[in-house]
Amino acid sequence: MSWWSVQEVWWLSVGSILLLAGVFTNQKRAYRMGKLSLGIMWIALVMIVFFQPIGTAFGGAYVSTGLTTLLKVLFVLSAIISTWIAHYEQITTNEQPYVREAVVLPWFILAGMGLMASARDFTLLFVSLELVTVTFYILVSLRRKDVLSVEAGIKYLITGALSTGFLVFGIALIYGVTGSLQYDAVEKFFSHSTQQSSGSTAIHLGILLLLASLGFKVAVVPFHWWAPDVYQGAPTSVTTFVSTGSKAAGFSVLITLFQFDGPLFYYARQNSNLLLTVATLSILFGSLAGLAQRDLKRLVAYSGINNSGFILLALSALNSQAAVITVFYLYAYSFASLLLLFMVGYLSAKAGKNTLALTDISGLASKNPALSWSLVVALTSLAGVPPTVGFWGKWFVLSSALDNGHIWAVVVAVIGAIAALVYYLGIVRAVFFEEMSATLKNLVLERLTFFYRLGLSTILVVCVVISITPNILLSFLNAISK
Amino acid sequence: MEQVLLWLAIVAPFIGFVLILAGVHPRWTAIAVTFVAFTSGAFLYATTGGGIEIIADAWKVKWLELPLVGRVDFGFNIDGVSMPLLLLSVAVSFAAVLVSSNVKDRNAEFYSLILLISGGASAAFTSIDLIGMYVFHELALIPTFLLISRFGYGAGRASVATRMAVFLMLGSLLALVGIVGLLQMMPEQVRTSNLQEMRQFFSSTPPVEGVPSWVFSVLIIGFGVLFGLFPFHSWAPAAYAACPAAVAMLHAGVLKNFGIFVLLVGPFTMFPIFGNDEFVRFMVPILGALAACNMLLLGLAALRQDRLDVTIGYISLMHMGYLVLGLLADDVFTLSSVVMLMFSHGLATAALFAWISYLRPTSSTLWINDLTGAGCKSPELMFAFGLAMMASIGLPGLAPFAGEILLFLNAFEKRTLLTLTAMVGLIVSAVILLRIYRKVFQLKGLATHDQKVYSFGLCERFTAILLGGLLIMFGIFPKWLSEPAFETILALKEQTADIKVVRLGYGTE
Repeated sequence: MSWWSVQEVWWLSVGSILLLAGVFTNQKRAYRMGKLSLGIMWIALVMIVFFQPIGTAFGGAYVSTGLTTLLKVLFVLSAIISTWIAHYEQITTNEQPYVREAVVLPWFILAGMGLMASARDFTLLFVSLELVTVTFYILVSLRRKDVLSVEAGIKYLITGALSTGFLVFGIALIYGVTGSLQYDAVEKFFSHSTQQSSGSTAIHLGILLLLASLGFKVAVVPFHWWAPDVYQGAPTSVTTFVSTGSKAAGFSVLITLFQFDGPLFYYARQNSNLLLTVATLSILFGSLAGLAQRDLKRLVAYSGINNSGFILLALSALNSQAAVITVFYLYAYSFASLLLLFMVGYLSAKAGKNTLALTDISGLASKNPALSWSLVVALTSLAGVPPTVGFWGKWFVLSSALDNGHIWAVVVAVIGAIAALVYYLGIVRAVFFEEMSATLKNLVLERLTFFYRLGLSTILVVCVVISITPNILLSFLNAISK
Repeated sequence: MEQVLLWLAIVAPFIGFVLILAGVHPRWTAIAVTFVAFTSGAFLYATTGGGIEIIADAWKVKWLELPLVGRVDFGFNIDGVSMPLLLLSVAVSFAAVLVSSNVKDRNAEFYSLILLISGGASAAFTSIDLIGMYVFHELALIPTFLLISRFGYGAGRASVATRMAVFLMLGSLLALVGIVGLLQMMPEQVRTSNLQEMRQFFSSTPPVEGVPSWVFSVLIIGFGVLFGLFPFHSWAPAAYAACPAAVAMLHAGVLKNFGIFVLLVGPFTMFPIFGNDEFVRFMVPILGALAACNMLLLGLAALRQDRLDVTIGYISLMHMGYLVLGLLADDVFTLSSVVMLMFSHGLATAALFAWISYLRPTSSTLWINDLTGAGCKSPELMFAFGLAMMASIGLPGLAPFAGEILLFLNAFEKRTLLTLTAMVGLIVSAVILLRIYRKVFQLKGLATHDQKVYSFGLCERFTAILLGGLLIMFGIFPKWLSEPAFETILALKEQTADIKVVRLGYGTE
């Protein structure tokens, strides 16, 4: 594979060109860059769907397979929706002093995510993970005058820096024992050696640190503490990008590591309780702690922790279907989450607030039934109520966990799903049952803009179509994983 | 031809849903599509003789397939067990839509959700696939939540709705775990949830180690929550009281039977579990005790209630005890009586819920003491409620009697104590209902408030004729129900009789 068929190179170039263009652009005309950037993202989506070749590049450090392409489609989609929401939040209009940052940085993040998914070398993993995380520090604290936003940025920076330390130390230990920075070396080490071989404590420690750093990325217990504050404080477009794109990127690395015959496959086989414990704790925590929340974006964070637990449960099955089920659930969660945040972002932008509380959206059903019903579809999909796409994901995860005999994990997953349903239904209740809030009374919501309705209905239709015929996505995934 | 009728009966409500979303007049659309569904269902019942012959090459398609999880098919077919339930579903849906004339605002929302529930119920009973049945049944969960919150009665209805939704989701997730357990008894290559293929597989290669005991227990508990088995019933009475009439009719009359239906066509007829000592020694007494609690304890609880809607809710739960007795007696006759009772008590309960909603115009809750003499204002209501009440009690000549007599006569030998308990329960339900009837409909002149009663218009008369007519018709000709059920269950049992005794996995393993 030659360098020019590596999509991330193009994404980095677009970002760099936009950066240079931004220097020479008048503040007043900078908003055009936002629209241009969104347009180029659509082109990037088409390129990735139709023109992504399979192969390796950069001496084997970068690999492009059907699975990585599918994951990159998800990254680009989340970047598109995030940029779209940024338009409504007026981050990319000419009144804001940080238009250029808001337009350029998502491209670098996108490139970093793509490289994370395709990395087969720890150096590339480190560089791309850092590219994503450090750029997100800036984006999260974009609203410099808003205390919550800056606080979120600082919290993300501190916990992120800690996780970077874990990552580097872990990689160093792994390198020390295996002598190479390629994923293959770890795989060879575990498949050929026994438990008592020399340096085994060091490599176990290294892998644990590596997993801790990735756990931070996907927000599972006990590395989840940054998530609620960061999701709440960041502008909603950035929350969307973090909760769907960054999480998917972290999981793409985990899928690569834990897939059948992957680098950490045999390690995970020997230490399956580790993954299971983390997964079940995340499911429980995400559902129980979310019950006390009254802020929508914090609820999204806890729902994300809950769903990350389910995705990790899917991964921990460690059988031939684990990758397919994980990617299916990731897609299901991402679409539902994108749908939800598309609405939350629009509503909060229209209301002039950074975030909406439950009391702010009460009575939405009387104001705009279409938005309310889309909210119901998104929330029931996240809850896993049949026949939504989230239900199919949960059924696959439960089946694969039961097949491995992880009964307790299934029990906890059921309890977690029920507890989470309570707060999803709480949102539905607020929207449909409560009196209209003061915030909503002042909004004009009867006529949504054409593009917003187009975007909302597209995501809604995709969610409903995959709910009714999950085979569309499944047969694709099955074909790719062969 | 039968296939067209079947698909029409099932798909019509969904088409109505789409039409209402597109802006067509909600009430007329709902009445039209449920009428179409009802006539197709009734015609189908008549032409197939109640489902004695299944449709030979029914259209089906693969819904999804994942190697570890299994293959799920999509398609519908009828047999003697599902056809009466389909008829029940379409009849009650039609009646439910007809009696909802008091819903005036936001009726697009109301009727679209009712159509979703009704289409889901019809599809659930006739689906050829276990997971398909499950998904269509669960389709009703969120619409019910929304209908209770938006159109229900009582100030606390939002919390009642949340509690109901969470409890039902718990039951259904447990049932899903049980279904997954059943699926995993099949090897990966042939793993499918298509019921017929499951039965063929289990009869040709019986499971060597038996059915794991946890699968059975989880299935019973999960579906027990759904149909209201004793300790898991607590969501039901308050939920039915808070529901609008149409939802109560669909839930208590139709959807409740789903739990028993799946247990009947699933584990109870797929494996010869009663040949297994351990099952008979452990599970049967426990289930019997729980069924007895349903019949007696819930009956006594109903006696103590002050609210009419909660009382009828408890009575509908009592009837589930009879159905569990029928399952436990494991005789072809008692299993056919289960089908007959599901149909007839479903009709009677739906009718009861329909008519009590007519006593509700000025107050949102139906305190029996406040309703003294209220029903006397409307002779039509008096007659209709009286008919439904007599059916519920088991008066000969009305549909439930035949099922009950078949059940008691055949179950007496095997489950004597439980049958006697059932008969006592019958007396208790008679006492409850007759007392209510006397208080509400006969004590004219002792009325404490000037209660207004909804008057009977054309729709209500039509519903009375529909539900009452079906109850009388199947009461005079119970053979129309019992014969197809008997033939189908006999065929199912013959298929499982070839299996050698299947161990249930209790005891020393």
